[in-house]
Amino acid sequence: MKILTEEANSLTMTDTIVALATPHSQSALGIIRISGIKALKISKEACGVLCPTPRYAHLTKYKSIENEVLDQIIMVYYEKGKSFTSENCLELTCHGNPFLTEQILSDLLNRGCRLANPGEFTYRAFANGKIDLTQAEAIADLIGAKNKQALMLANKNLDGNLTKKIRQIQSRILAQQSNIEAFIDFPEDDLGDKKDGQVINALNDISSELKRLIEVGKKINVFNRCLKVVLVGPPNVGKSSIFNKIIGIDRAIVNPEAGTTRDFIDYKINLGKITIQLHDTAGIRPVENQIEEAGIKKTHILIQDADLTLIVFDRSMPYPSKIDKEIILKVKNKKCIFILSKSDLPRVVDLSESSFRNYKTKMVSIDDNKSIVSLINLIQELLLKESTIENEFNMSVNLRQSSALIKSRDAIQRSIKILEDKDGSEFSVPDLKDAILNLNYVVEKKDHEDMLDILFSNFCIGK
Amino acid sequence: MNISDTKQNPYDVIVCGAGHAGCEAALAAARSGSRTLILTGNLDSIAQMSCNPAVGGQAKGQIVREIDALGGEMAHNTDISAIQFKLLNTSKGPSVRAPRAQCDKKEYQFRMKHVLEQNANLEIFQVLVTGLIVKNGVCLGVKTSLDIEIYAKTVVVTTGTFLRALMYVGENKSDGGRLGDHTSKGLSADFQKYGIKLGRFKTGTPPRILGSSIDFTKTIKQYGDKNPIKFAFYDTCSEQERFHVEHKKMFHVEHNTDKTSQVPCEQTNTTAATANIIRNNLHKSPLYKGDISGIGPRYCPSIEDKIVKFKDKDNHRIYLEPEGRNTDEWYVNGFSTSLPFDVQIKALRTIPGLENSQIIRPAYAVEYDYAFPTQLSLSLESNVISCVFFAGQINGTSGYEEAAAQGLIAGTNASHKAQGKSAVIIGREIGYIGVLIDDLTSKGVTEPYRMFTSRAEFRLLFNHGSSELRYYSVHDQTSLISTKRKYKIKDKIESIRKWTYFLNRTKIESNKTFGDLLRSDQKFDFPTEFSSLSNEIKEEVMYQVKYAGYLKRELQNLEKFKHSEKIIIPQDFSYDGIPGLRKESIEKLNSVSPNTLGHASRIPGVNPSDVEILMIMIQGKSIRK
Ligand SMILES: Nc1nc2c(ncn2[C@@H]2O[C@H](COP(=O)(O)OP(=O)(O)OP(=O)(O)O)[C@@H](O)[C@H]2O)c(=O)[nH]1
Ligand SMILES: [Mg+2]
Repeated sequence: MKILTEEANSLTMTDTIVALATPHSQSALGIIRISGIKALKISKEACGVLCPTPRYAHLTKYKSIENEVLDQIIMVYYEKGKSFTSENCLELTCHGNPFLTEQILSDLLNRGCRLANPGEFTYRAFANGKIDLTQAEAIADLIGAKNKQALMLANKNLDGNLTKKIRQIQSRILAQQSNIEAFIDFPEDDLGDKKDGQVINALNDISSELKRLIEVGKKINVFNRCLKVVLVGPPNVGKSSIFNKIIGIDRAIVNPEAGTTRDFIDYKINLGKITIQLHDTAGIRPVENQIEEAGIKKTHILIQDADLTLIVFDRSMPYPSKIDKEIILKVKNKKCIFILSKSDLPRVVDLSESSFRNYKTKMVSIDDNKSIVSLINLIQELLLKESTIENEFNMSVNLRQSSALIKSRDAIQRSIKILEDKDGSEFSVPDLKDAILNLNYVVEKKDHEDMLDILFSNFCIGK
Repeated sequence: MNISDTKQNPYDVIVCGAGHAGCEAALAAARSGSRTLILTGNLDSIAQMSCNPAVGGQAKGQIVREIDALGGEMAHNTDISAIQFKLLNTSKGPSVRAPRAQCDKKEYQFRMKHVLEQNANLEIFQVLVTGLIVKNGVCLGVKTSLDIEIYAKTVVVTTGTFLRALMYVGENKSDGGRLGDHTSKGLSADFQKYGIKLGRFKTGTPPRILGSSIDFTKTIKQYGDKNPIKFAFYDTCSEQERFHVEHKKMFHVEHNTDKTSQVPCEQTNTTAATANIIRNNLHKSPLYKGDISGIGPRYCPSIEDKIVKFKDKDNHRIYLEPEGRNTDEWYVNGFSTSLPFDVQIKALRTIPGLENSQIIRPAYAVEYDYAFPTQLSLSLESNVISCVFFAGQINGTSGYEEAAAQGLIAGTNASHKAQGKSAVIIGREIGYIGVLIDDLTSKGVTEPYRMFTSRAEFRLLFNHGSSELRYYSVHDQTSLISTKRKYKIKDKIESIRKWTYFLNRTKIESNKTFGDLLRSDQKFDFPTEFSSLSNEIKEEVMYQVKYAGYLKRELQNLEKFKHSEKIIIPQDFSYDGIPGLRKESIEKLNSVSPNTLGHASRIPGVNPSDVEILMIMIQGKSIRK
């Protein structure tokens, strides 16, 4: 309640909201989501499906309010109670042309829908009792997380890794509160020695645990891990030259002869917020001997572990399509940049028909500093946008969660100070309650009854 | 009692039961101008202390002072009949200090009975109430064991532990809510017939022994305080101004006016031998055999529970408490049990000082029905049958103080309803009575409910001395205290405000205020004008100045709390069919009918997302209108 209260005033649940679920750019497909009471009306009037079968892909045409066919689409209807938001929902899959999706969206607005605020679909799911706060946030993270590992982590979060951890901490704070409360509320009972010293120690432990969780949150945002970037390609295309340019020193041997690089060298550098480890490799070509085979295997492993692969092709040389295919097999499902090197030399082969044409492409000449800077920027952009996340707790901590953790820790620190000052242990309790309350915002609430449970199981009360 | 024409001329208020809740309910109703009738099954057990002969203690002592602030009788009645006073937690700050008193059990009863007898608006009659007269969901009066029907505009039910009560002494099982008293079977069935849901609790009481059989050389004396803290506020309402049966010179028990001669209690403890005997006889305890299904209080376990659950503890503390000045009956505090009588004696006699003790009343366990308090509104009126109010142990609470507090509020509100006035609602930000009623009606009970200071969010503001100040605004709505007292309280509040300001602002040495010196525990002289004020005012001012930092934060939290209590849930608000609300939540909300969003948020099982939805719906609905 507390967190969403302010926003909720501006969010009225009676509107039908729409949003583009796919990136707003040229792509094969575009998905538009619609949630709210108008969903069925749109199915009937815009998509021409009178009584859509839930969860069934209807192939149909989208017609504008002026009765003009805008696109052939696939429409899926999710009925109330069973959809993500728990409202009637439609998912329209159309062609991924930005101009087209824009047209459909504006037509939907003409039909009385409004554009969803950021996170509003999730908010509705939450407000309709479909998910709890942590789940809602994890789902929000899911949408944002595009690479596989982040997905895996977000999934773990859904399973409750963070929830479990925070619940544990809540219980530990409650236990310390009960140690204080027992001596306040049962002054005539024989409770043994006062526990203030013990409580202070335990609270210090809890505080450090919270600190570690907060650190996780921080690290996730700045990617503390060193990211692997690998240069691959046929021999003599200029891999080592590019390697040297990126790292800024002449580390790799550059030679006009093909097959110069035999050893695998690497180098760590900072690119803005992130740290990368750049690997140079031996050129990939038809295998002639065992040593080369071993080298290619090694390249293969590097590509497997890489966060980003830079595939270099010499645009001034003709290539057998065989190598093209061999490399594409290796980088399947990997993040890549397709570099066309030696752009200062005349073009010989048109690689626009290559299987790489769907990748981000960059023309580079080592004599053109601008082209190198532009390559570095692209590397940074791709890594920042889609990076892998790992941490000791196997969980992600988002901004709001970590602000709750910080508040909770501050409250614990205050209560420790009060206990140390010996003003009276009752004065430390509001801060302990505050610490628990802040965690209540992140997971389900713990209350006074939970505290009593701990108190009565730890102390023999009843003189 | 004039019963002939009650159908034409009904009483304003009938109170069923004359325990601690019933007495306060009847007095509150009568004092606020209602023609009131109080019915009891036994005139001789009015205001009886069925368990220990003491009033107050942690959190309860504060409640008793709050009862006095609301014009109730318990505080003054305790002050008069007390034989020992003790302030608990003196090593801690003022907010968690609590007054407690041992009472002369009989004197307490006789005096309370006399107070009831003397009230012009109040009639007393001995008869068992067997049922309610209900028409179209409205209660019109009560049925009695004399087959007489008595009509009233409102009824307050304060029947304590007497509903379908069963007592256990080992294998022996008998009907009754207290040794020597009756049980009430019909009433439970009647309530259920009208749809009131009942649960079952159990409680226990220790044996009573003869003082002459105690070896006092082996026990440790526990004396009262030299300068006792009383429960009533005599600075705003003197002894003479109080309703005072003693003045009528009709009181036949001579109460001890010599305040210095308090009676000590005695302390001893159980031994390894006690534990052995109890362990070997556990199979005879109805608690352990499973005969008793009711849930007992965890804070007041039987001795068998303590020995089983806390094996490592070598001994358990036992207090021996005298039951009065004119009796040699002693209460063995800490030895509540349902073991067979022969085991009770054997175990008791392993305790130092009690080797030759003579039991004159056995220990026993009681099992009884209570009505789920979530079926009540914050005025303590039933949500199931209108014009019926419930107070005391029937609501699943334990303790004389908790009962009396509810009685006071239920009686006041029954009277207000009968007179067509609006209900008095005490918020949890006002004091423990507010916390008590809010907890009961929103959270319900899972074991007999006892007040703890930890239940109060704003404990630091609930120091016992500030009760009158906190409840002052409630009296805008009531006529429970005299106008003269209201003025005196107003003056007191003003004086405290003035002096707090003065001490915080006035510098006495090198840029330091009185407040700075007080907070850093330095010695200094207060202005003579301040020193001559009443202790009540001085102590409150010193508390507010010395702990200003903590209290300021507490007050800020209180303001936030008040804000969330301001979102009112309309009376006709329907939870059914609200999208997204889970079935369990709808059920809970329907059964509790919370008044505000804050109230709803405290219902267990109603989670934040439900509250979120409610908020949106309430706002949505109010916008549509
Ligand atoms: N004109 C021109 N020549 C380049 C460019 N980049 C590299 N070369 C030349 O191409 C040749 C091969 O360069 P390397 O960097 O050794 O190529 P490599 O891919 O590492 O070769 P292997 O290690 O044998 O796989 C060298 O003679 C470079 O000077 C470029 O952008 N323009
Ligand atoms: Mg090379």
